[in-house]
Amino acid sequence: MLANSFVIILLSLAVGIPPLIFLFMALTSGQFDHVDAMADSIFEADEMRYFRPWENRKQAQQRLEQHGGLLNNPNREWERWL
Amino acid sequence: MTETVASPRTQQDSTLEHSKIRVSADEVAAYDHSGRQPVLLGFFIAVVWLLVGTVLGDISSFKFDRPDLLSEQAYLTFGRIRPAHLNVMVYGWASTAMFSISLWLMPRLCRTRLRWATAATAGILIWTLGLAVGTVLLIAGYSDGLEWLELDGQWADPLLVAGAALVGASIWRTLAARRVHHLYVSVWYVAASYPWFLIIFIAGNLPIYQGVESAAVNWFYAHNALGLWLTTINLGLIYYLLPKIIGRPIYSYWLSLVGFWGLALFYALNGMHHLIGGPLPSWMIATSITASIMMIIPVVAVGINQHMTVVGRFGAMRYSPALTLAVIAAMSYTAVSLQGILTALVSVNRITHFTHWTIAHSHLGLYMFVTLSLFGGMYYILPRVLKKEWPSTRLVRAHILLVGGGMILYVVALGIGGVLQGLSLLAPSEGFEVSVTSTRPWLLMRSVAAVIISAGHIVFAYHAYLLAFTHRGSLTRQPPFFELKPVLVKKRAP
Ligand code: HEM
Ligand code: HEM
Repeated sequence: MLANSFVIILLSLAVGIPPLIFLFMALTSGQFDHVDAMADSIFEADEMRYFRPWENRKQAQQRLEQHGGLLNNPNREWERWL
Repeated sequence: MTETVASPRTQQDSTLEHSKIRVSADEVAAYDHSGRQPVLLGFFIAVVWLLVGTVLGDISSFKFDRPDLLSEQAYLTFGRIRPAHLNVMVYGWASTAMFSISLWLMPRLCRTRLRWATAATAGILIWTLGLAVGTVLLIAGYSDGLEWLELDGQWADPLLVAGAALVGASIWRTLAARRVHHLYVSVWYVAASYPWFLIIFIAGNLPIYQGVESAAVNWFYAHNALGLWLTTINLGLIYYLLPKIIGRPIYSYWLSLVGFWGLALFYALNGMHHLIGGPLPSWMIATSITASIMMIIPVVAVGINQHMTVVGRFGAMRYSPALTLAVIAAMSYTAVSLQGILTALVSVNRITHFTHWTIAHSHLGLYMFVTLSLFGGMYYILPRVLKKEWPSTRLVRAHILLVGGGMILYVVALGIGGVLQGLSLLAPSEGFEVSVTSTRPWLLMRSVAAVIISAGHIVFAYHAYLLAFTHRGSLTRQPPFFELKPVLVKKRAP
């Protein structure tokens, strides 16, 4: 009878242990420093300045204050579809 | 000596710089261009598989209403069409589209062009060949006999492994060549998925297990295929799309890391909850149920984080189909996971196991979460790679309303039908036929939903064809030099 499935234990370890090692490696190499900058890193130059048609006055004002004068998005991507 | 000391500092410097210096639109366009070939190829193949899988899903569904339908030929029977549906949808539609999404995301996030793009293209083709061979064999009656692992071990699986390994090699080579030190959370998700998939797929297919152990490895594989492959790449995509489109960074970057590492460390223990009530040692089942309950941590972390990023700006969904689909997918991820945690409890599983409830859960996960996220990704990525916009807002509307509405009907109908079926199966006074009759109206509703969703798929495929193969999308409706004219819109804001 199957009392201990060594295969399942081994496989779970094979899948679960490497992330633990990577976690420590990431910690020591400073991957978790500068988290705010990281969250910001996906934006292109001027992207945050695009006027977003769904934002209310307060949100648009906030964008303007944080990122500078608003620009129109050069791509035709925010057309109302609904 | 000098070099070893100098390199970490250089890395640190570049880290600080890259977060401050924003990447230019031209640079991003160049990254998109570097992966153009495999990305477009993958999406094209994925849409073809989606249509094939839809026909197979529809036939499987109609057979519940009319069991005699298409039953004269062995290859049209439920036992072949249903696994063909599963494999075509999971490995053909979802996985191939996920290859493209990974190959598009990595250069952008690593700020370098895609490396080994030709290997990735070859990988996608080899993968597709493997799946085509496997599906034909499956329909012809050659199956490995384990759910999710049905594809032929000799002719199909080696090709799938080679294909995924080649795409993975391109992903990891790009990661190694990255020009940034820090990894955005989507990179963690996407890059980790490839070695995970290869390990579990190879382990799951080894022909060395027997009896109960074979079932255990089967569900170890299937659950991890869901959690460490289908879920991860789509969460990576959603973590990119939500902030990008909304135009504000993710609510808490820390929470996103908690979500990733929680999943990475605990998911592998979940698999045995598919075998609750089966002849397995109780510690294995108990461990998996405990791990399932612990999944609440990464799930809630992801849910709160994504909700807080969008909150107050849900109106944006009316302007961006990609965002709409990503938001619904994100909510469905929370919903399906909470439903799954509930289903993993013994008292609930006793009722719902062997019922249509599980199918409702499957499609809430694989459709409302995975498939909608992939559609969202395609709405966002294709115009950027093809440099054209989607030609028709009407077709976008038709597609999203049809698939969204159809799937809600599918999941709700089978959710209710499944519980009624389960209760009826447990009632000692009721015969088996009662449990069958009680589900018939709900199954009919699922077939209606199937037709609606299929119409949505046809609309989407037609629209993608218009975008890719005609010039309609390239018509720009803006005045010349529009791009160059900065506009102060303080007054225009509503
Ligand atoms: C047109 C849309 C779809 C229809 C009509 C449909 C229909 C069905 C039917 C009738 C079954 C068999 C249920 C049973 O055995 O009781 C099934 C199973 C399944 N389908 Fe779909 N499906 C659709 C889309 C998808 C998509 C897009 C995916 C994946 C990305 C998918 C993945 C699966 C899986 C994994 C199963 C097996 C579920 C389980 O064993 O719990 N389906 N589907
Ligand atoms: C914490 C998260 C989750 C938990 C605890 C969970 C739990 C479960 C359980 C207990 C079952 C077995 C039901 C039975 O056979 O009685 C199941 C089946 C399934 N789950 Fe989940 N689930 C989770 C998330 C997901 C996600 C995110 C997806 C999709 C991406 C998904 C897709 C499926 C599918 C397709 C099946 C059916 C497998 C089959 O029978 O072929 N689940 N889940």
